[in-house]
Amino acid sequence: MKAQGKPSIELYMYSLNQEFPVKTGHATYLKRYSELKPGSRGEVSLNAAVESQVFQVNGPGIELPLGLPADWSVQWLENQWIENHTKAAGMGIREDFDPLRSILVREEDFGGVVFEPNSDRVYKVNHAGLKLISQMQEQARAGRPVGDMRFDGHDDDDVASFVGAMKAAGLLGA
Amino acid sequence: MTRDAVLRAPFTVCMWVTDYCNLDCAYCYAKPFSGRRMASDRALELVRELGAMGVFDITLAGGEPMLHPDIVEMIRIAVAGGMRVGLLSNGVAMPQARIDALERVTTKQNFIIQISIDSTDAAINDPVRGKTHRVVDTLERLRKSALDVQLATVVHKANVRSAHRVIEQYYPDIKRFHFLNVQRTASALQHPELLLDEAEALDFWLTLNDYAKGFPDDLFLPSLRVQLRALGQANTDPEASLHAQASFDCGVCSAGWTHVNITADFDVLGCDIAREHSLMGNVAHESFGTVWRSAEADAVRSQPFPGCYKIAGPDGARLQDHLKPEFVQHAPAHEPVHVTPALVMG
Repeated sequence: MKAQGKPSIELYMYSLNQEFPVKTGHATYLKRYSELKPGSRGEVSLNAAVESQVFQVNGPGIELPLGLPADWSVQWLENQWIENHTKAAGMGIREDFDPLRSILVREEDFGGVVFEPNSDRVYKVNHAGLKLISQMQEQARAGRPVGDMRFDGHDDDDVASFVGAMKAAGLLGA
Repeated sequence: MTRDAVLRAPFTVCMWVTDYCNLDCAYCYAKPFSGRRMASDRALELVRELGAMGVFDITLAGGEPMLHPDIVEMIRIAVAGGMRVGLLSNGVAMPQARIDALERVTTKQNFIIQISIDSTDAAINDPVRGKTHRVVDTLERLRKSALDVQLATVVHKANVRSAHRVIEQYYPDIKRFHFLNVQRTASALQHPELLLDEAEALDFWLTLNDYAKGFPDDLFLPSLRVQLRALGQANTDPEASLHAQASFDCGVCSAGWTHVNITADFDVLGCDIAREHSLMGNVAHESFGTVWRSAEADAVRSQPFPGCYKIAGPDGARLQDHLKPEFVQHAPAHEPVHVTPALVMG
């Protein structure tokens, strides 16, 4: 019986610090919705404007010194805004990396989310995918090889595809 | 504008457990302080709630979080609830008994402590941050402990030529080093002698990049890659292509979607920058879940443009004022709400 549906997994956030959807950010947003004009290279010359709002520097006697770099309170990365990491330290690289033991899984209305702390990434799974990952975690916690598992109710090809996606994402050892 | 469904809980929560500090850093972004701290009973209960809701990661900050009398108990409850904890400290108030206690209640898998210092040379660090010898003493004890430590260094005019060399002083006992450029906070602008120009900053990051090549691969520099990209020194490693695949779609910005901040007065803020424009509620007397699902929280998530566009700059201008009129007219209006006024202790 193939009653569980096709499991799926996708990258949800490339970092817990991701602030905007991919390919958006202040520059894209303001080009689309504001009357501010892009510079000669097509960029929106707004760094100072954004920064002036990041920190309220409108105190008495404060003048922005000339010749300072544009904006370091926000970090532009391929038109995406990365939060200051000191405010969200994350957990980073671990020497004793065991993906199935280190990932954190949470149920959501659409299925579940999987946080992989070594890469700081978040994945989204559907209900069938959540069930498979939960079973794999149980297997790993019991010290049994995941490769020996049987997933009743799923199409073998669907499971193989899902397992392959997990390996590619680093959520499952090779 | 499309957006994802609201999650059952945020992924990360930053709790500002104290709103006071035992240092007076020249560039501090948290000042002015109210002198208030989170009430212990409610703070401990709140940490339990967050764990039960499935929050992945909790950051304990301030002010100086080690000045909260129940900080270790908060950490113990957080890791017992399955969360990973980051503690952001200046390292001044770190008696050995506290380090021993942290070793007992945490592991390298669920806890990391970040200590801030700009140089171990008091001649450099004291005028900017202060109490260098106490922080160095803390680092000497932490490097021998079982705790996972990250060192955070702000790069400014006084240390720009030598900041990277802190790595050789502590590696391999400490393997994580976070550098960041001095930010133009209201405090920092009162100290223009610390601010860097573009060329000085770029030179630092390129120097750090070269210097880091002399260390094994386990040296972890969380901000280097981001900075090199931001400065146009692209580092095109394979994972960069993954950025194009992330499906996260919150509409405008992630304020109130995946992470929140909780102040010492238990205000829940969707954004730590646009604070007064992202108040989702207060959890002093309500559960976090109630606030997370409230109409106020959804109003923050539904803002038509980032809340920081409402903040006036030095000349009084706001980015909001530059949005196309037809867009602003169609955007639902959300008047700023006022964050709970803090009360001064004592």
